[in-house]
Amino acid sequence: KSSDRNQPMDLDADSTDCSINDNAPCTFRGNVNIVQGTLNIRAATADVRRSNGEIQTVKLTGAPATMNQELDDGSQFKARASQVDYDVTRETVVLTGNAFVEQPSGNIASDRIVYNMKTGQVQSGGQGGGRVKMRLNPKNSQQQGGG
Amino acid sequence: MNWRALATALLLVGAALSGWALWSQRERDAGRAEAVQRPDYVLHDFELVVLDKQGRESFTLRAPLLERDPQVKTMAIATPLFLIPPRPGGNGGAWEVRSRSGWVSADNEELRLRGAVRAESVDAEGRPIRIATEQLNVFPQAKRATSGVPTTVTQPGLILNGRRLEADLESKRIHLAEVKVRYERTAR
Repeated sequence: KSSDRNQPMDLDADSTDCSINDNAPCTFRGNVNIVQGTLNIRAATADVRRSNGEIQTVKLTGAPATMNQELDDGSQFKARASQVDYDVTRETVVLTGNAFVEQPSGNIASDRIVYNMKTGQVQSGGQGGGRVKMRLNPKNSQQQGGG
Repeated sequence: MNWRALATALLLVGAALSGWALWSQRERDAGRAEAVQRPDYVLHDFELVVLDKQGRESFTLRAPLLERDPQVKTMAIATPLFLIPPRPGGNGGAWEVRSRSGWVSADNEELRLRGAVRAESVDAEGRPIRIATEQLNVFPQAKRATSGVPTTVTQPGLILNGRRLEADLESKRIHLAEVKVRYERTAR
């Protein structure tokens, strides 16, 4: 949801190596689980960067890293990729490496997918993102899927 | 008949002797225990500046009571406040470490803080940092701290909980296991 951004972000992991200073990395390893409002990300590692005490970016890797979020219309956005770069300030998520997005309206598979959390827009391919494979679901199955 | 009386007499003497031996041993133990417990010096309401081998301040200690054990040369301290300066030329802030009780090793290389331990400093941007735990082992010259029990590290907008703390007090680098973090948006 667009309100997710203003929620606290809870993260747990097997271990962390964290520099408390600004712009220095706070690295988390092992069973990383992030919850921020309806946003839920699971990964093997996470690298969190802060500036002026605020989170700026979270870079996650996994085999794959997975991401779920409920959209403002109540439907579910699901995604997975080898790397997930969440830019908290710009509210965008860049999925790279076997990226796959699943929404009621259809699925997209590409090597690079950009998801704008503010607008809900999904962009794929470009920047060496390779070919895009997209499947659009017929209207009635969307309604069923949309709940 | 008289061998029975003789045996009884011998038993009585034996019982009396062992009772006397036990009695005198108890007194000797008490004496020695008192000697061990008695510190060779006691300080009240003091400030102690401890220097390292190069003559630089390793830490400053303020407390209402310090007792030194003459046998092993360690110090036991009540409600200590340790002030650990940053390394010369470093950009880390100094640390203030408080607890209910403290212990200093003979070579002053290790401080063990127990009970309501609070270590406070500031990061490179001047933002406060606090480490809270029930046990903290500080190595002032190595600028390092460890803990084997649950520990919480807080900073405006950040709460880090975990176990098996390893902290570099100079670079403010922290390693924790079984970690749970909450990032909050700080008030603008």
